[in-house]
Amino acid sequence: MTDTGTTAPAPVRIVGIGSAAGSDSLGWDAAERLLASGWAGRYPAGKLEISTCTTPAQLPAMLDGARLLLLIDALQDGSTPGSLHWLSANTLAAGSQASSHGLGVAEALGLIDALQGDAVEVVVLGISTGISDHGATGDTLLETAWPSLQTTLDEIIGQYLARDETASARYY
Amino acid sequence: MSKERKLNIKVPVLARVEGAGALRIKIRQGRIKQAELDIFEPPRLFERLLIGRDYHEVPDMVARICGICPVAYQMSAVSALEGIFGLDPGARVRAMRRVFYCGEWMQSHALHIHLLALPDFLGFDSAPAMAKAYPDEVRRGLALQALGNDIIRLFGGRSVHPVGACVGGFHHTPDRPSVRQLLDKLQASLPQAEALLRWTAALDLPEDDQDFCSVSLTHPQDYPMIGERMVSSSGLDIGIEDFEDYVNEYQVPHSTALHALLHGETYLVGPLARMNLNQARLPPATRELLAECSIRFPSRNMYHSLIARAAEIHLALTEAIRLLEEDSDAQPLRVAPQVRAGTGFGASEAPRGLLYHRYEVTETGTIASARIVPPTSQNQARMEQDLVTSLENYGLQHAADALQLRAETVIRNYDPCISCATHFLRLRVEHD
Repeated sequence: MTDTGTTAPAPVRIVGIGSAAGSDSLGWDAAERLLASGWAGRYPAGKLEISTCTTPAQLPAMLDGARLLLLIDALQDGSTPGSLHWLSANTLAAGSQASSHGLGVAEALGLIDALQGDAVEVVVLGISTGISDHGATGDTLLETAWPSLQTTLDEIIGQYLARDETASARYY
Repeated sequence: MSKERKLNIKVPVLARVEGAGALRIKIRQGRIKQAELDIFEPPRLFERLLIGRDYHEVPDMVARICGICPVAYQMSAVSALEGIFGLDPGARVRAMRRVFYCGEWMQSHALHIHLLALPDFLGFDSAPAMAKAYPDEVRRGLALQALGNDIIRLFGGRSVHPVGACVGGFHHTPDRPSVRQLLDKLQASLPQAEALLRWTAALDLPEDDQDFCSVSLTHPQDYPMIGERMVSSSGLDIGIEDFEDYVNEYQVPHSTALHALLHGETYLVGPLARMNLNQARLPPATRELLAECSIRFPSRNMYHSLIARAAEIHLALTEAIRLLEEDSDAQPLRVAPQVRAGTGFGASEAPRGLLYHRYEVTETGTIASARIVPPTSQNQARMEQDLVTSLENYGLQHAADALQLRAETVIRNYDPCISCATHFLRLRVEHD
């Protein structure tokens, strides 16, 4: 699912991860909304790719040529439903004891770290579902998170592209 | 000493398997009294969800059963539905479906070998820990996994839950430049697949000699992927329409996934069973490569499943290259079905083994009934039997930690997909 499609690998990847249904689909829904809204059009062609992923084990194989991974996932932590959280790898590792996937998100990120090291910068953004899966619908939660999600992504990608431009200018 | 030992091993959540399951083993007086693979993931009721839907919705709906093997679900479904409609999609569709399937074997097997199974055999507690010690091997595995995803994306539109397959063929025909680009990548990756097979064949895998019945599809010429006949190492040779006459599914209290027996006996499906029964149909290049290694099939060592997976990656890559090179635009990639009522049967070889579908369709093309028997359900009883045999062969005198690790290794070696297996719950209501 490429938005600014070219054949060269895009350095910035946004991946919505989760299930296809229930509030665990928030990561998916966010990625699909980013695509459908044309939000990515503000960035130069070939810089950004948006996709979805159900199985964390697929994630490391999706990052060929990537330099910045922005992973969006649903977060069940009891915080305000629809609030956006910047998660560290340590937080994820602590909560990864019972993944229902062959390889959980924390392990997949551990694998990326082991293989790519500093070559890929990883940012995990969690959208809170509240305490449980019940209550607010995914649409409502995403609506709540949508403004801060766009702002946060813009901020992170903007900083990355500025750094990238500076590095390129220095190189040439 | 060991005969008086009383030991309970409980693994509350099995790691590095797809879905949620647990293990419970009781050892009394030097023997295993109980070995159960507990599956507590809630049933997903897919068969019921399909009833009342139009036939053309089925391929996309069943693809959602599994994030790892959606192609298998789609191919078993379209085979069954085309059987009802009397539709022959033609040689080109059959060839490109095989390429599509090759992509799934590559990505699923590469994932299982490198991220789920190998840490057990190389002495690591996780894939990231192993990746630090074996970065080149893991990178090679991830590259092969990504290549499989590329193939799925070419035909399916996307690699996860692809949407390109339909009754009669594919919704779209891949353009020539995309096919050429993929072919170049596939050809460039053959040395990687060869190296993977040599490497896995040279690994120091545990010794394990077991007596089991292998079951797979069969094909007159090809290594089976989508097929109409099913064979076993004990002489069974039946049409897939007779599957339910021979395979009995039943429920056990500790599992929300059904177990299955063939003629009342446990049996094995999956890469080792396929390799044991179909090695003569391997492409020459894969056969020659295997002959160079010291591993011989048929094998009674369950751990040789790992090598069978590596051989199937090589086979899939070789087959995909051959079929894409031979492909031409002479025939369409989609044939329109003529809807009619009936019952149809379809089967294909999912990465984890034989996947059976049966559908009943009304004259307007509505699904009246559906039955899906996934490979993990068929392997469950065998897994429990394997647990007993393997642990007793290993030696019950070992420390509890070592026994637990060996038990988890046994289960992970099957690459069980619990999410696939818990699609159905047989409900019996008893009234006074």
